[in-house]
Amino acid sequence: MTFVDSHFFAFLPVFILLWWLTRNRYELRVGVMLWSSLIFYGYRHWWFVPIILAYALVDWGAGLLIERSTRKKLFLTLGIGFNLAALSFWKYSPLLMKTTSELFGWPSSMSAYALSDGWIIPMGISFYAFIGIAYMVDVYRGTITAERDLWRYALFASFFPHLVAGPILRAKEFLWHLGPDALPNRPLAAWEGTFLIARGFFKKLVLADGIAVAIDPFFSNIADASTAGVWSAPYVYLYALQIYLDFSGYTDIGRGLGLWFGFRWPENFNWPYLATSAQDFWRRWHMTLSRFLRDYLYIPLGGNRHGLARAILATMITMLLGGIWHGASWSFMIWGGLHGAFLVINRLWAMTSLQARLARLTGPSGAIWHVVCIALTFNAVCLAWCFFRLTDLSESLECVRRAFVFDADKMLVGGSGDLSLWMMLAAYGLASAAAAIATRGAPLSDVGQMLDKEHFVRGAAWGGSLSLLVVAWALAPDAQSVPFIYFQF
Amino acid sequence: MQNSAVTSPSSKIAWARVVAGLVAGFLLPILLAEAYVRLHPPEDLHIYLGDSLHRPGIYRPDPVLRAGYRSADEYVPFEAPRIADLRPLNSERPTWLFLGNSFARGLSASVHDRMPSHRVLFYREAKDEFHLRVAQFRLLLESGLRPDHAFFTLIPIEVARYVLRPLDWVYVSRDGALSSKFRLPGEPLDSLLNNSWLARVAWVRSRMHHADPTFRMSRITEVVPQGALADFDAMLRALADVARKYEVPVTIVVLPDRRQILDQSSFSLQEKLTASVRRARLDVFDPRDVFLAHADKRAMYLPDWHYSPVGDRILLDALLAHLKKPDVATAARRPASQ
Repeated sequence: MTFVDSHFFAFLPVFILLWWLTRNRYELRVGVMLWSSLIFYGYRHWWFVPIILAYALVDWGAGLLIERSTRKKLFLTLGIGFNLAALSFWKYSPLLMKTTSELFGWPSSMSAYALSDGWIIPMGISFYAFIGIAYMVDVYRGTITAERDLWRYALFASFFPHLVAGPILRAKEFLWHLGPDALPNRPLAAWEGTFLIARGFFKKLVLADGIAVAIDPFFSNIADASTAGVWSAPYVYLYALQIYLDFSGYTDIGRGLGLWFGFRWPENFNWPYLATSAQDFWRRWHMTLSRFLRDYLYIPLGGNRHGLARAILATMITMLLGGIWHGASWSFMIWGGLHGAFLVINRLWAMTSLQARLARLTGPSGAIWHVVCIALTFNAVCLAWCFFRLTDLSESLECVRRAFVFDADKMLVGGSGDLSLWMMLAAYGLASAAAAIATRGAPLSDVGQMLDKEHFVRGAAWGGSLSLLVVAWALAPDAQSVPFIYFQF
Repeated sequence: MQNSAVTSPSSKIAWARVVAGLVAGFLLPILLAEAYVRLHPPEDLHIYLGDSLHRPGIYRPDPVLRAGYRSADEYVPFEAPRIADLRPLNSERPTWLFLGNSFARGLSASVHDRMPSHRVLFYREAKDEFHLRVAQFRLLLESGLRPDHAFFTLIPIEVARYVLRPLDWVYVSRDGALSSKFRLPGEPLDSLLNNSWLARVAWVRSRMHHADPTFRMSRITEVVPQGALADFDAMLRALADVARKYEVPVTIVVLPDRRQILDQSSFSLQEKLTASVRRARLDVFDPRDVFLAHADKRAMYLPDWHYSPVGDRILLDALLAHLKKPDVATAARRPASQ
């Protein structure tokens, strides 16, 4: 099931009712939350459920063994090994079968099956694998104690609002709030949660899906004569917006649901396309993944502690693995490699005296330099998106080429010339900017508290949130046909 | 929230302000969205706006097909890229004309490859509906095209379209644009849907506007509503009239879908369609037996449900064998006067 599945709108009220009815019965409530999450997860494919339960069992058991045993490293290795092996099996088997089939002439039906629609990767498998790895490493490092209760751990890993596309949570952000004395009995911030859910649906159904309808034909036919000479840049810009709105929309809905049930989870996005450097971009984009990669990959690889060369190596390895995590394709590896290269260039540039002088600029020249940095970063990120959107390498390269070589009369041909789409995006951008200015950039949680002081504004905030939900539903192009992009990862 | 209400000078005024804010906050995005939809009506809404939206078109009302083309002069520039292949209209070589969707394109491509002595024309207008296909055929013949044989393909999903939007819902707006009625749920929602384009978008996109919102496309092969069959009776009669008037042999190729062949599900639709075609005294070709008899059924299909090269070959072999049958061959032969 997904948040835009029509069955979710039947599932959610039933869950809320059961959640409310069990408010004073801890064991029962944990059971309701866990089993509802498993129903949510296994609704389309029941065989997903044993997979996530196996993960939960292994990670929970490994956590206990790491804590109690003298051979901590062995159990940590085994635990992480299981998570990565299972993840690799589901994600990379098709490529492996295809390659071995080609190399050794194994039956072609094997590779045909692996590459066909029949091979289904359990949705969100990476996310609960990452949660498990982070948990075991934290237990190993001694920053948390191992969870004693299997079902509580299983709920931590599988609670449906964060299950399939994050945010990637740590024990202290969620598991610690599942104990008998800590499990919330009421919403933490009802308006904030409702607003996040409404904004998430609007971002997903109206904006991201609207963009998908406009740009998918171009990307599907980029190798055809039908798109010859068409400028790819506006399509790539639209894709950049689509993936942001789709993924951040999902996170908004997930975080909003979390608030409804009493949990506050970390932000995953912070205006990423306003980043002024590659490093800044990764502080703003998929922040919980960046945090995971930094703490559990980059720093163990040496991080900044062993000189520049080692730091560059660690950066490249981290980003290449981050790229290949998205899928078994050279394109994803190039995408990761490009971001690694951007980060390295960024690091080297930061060491120059020219950068230091430019960074000290103030007034109009400082503002211009700031805008130049944003534009450079955004375009570099968009260049890399070509390899993310098109997993066939030749198509990705064609997409990059078309950004520079195109027919002048085909600059805005097709979906990229859809004025109504650009207007909608501009209106959303302006509204977001206006809201940020009006609240002086205050976090949404602070805005929620501010609302309590003004009766009219409080009513308007609630009305606006509900209205946004209605508008999202009314303007959704065809919600059933466009799944969330990050579900596949 | 409760504290502030209790401590305010007048809790009634406080609540009145909350309610006023709620209403204002609710209405503002709705009004903005309504304005947006009025300013840029989404394309999928256009046909449901009728005369409310100025859209120049090339259609005229037709008593049977509900919409026809006003004239070839208007039609040609409108569809220029699509009909470029039809020029010159006639040739010394035997000409076969294919009308239909991508399945007709596949079949025409097979004929093109296998029968170089023939001139093969495939025509598919932007509006992919059977009644318009018949109108296009009529217009092409009126314009002078004289194919030696015309083939119309029909797949189950094309029939389902008439379950969702019956033929008598189709109409032509004052500006000549194709338009369609839609299902209304009854008052008070009728007023809302008649006055708010935003509400109409939501209605259309939630697919509640269909004649039968509960109808599932996948069931069309088993349950064929009478209304859709009656529409096909009328359209096929109109097609037969055109074919007889211009003496062009027509074959309706009734194709099964992949599910019917692989899962051997019901062929009720094909039974009824072939009967309907025969009532109109047109030739009908139903290749289900050759598909069902093939040893490796999966090999006949691509993952997107289109025919693989194997499927295309089997279909063409069967079609050519069908055309050689004495009764079909006689019907298909051009009259001597032509």
